[in-house]
Amino acid sequence: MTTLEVILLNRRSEIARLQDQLEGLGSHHGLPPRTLHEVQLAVEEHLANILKHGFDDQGEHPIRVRVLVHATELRIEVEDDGRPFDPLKHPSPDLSQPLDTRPVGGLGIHMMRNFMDQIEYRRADGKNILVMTKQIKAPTP
Amino acid sequence: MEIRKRITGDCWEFMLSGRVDGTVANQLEVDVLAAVKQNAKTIYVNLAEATFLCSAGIRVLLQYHRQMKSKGLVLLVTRPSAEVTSTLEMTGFPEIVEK
Repeated sequence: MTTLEVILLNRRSEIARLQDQLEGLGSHHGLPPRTLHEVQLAVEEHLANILKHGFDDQGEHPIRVRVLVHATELRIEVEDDGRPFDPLKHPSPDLSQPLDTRPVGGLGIHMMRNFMDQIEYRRADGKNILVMTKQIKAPTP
Repeated sequence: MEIRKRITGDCWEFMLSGRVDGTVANQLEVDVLAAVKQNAKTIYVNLAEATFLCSAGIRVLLQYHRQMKSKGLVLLVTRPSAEVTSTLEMTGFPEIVEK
């Protein structure tokens, strides 16, 4: 098992820094490109939501990200001290509506749900903790 | 990331590569607005070299696709990479891709 632990600050450039590290991790472990792509998008969407909605002040806030790579599973834990936010409580967007009238809100959470195999949320010690799990499958030929 | 532009008459093409994250989505919006201001009739967003497209990017594409369409103009995604295609299909927006 490999663990990557990164403390990010609540700035957009920090997400890019983590994405670079995820790409390095994916390359090191030979993760299937599709798996890595879906994990990166889920991480991007969750961190973007934290930055956008999580904090009432302009101060710096640490966001702790741990990535655990097992043989068949990748697990990502994200911990932030922003306002309580359970993404699992948000309804999925209605994708059956016509394009011209369809609201675009909620797409990020929809992507997280679809790209990851499991998502768990809890609030503990004044922090949001989100755990996302993705099965690592061999790419189909 | 720099967004490359190609302008042919009133047709503008933007070429994006790598990760289309929130920062790139903001830049794309600035560039699209500049094209609209300069009376672009057609805007193509070429995503052949994009390795991912986040929801902020989709929002920009959808917002200006609708705005252009309401004026009888065009904004479409062209040559999406496999990764971008899967994201657009999963979020239900394949219609913004040029057929």
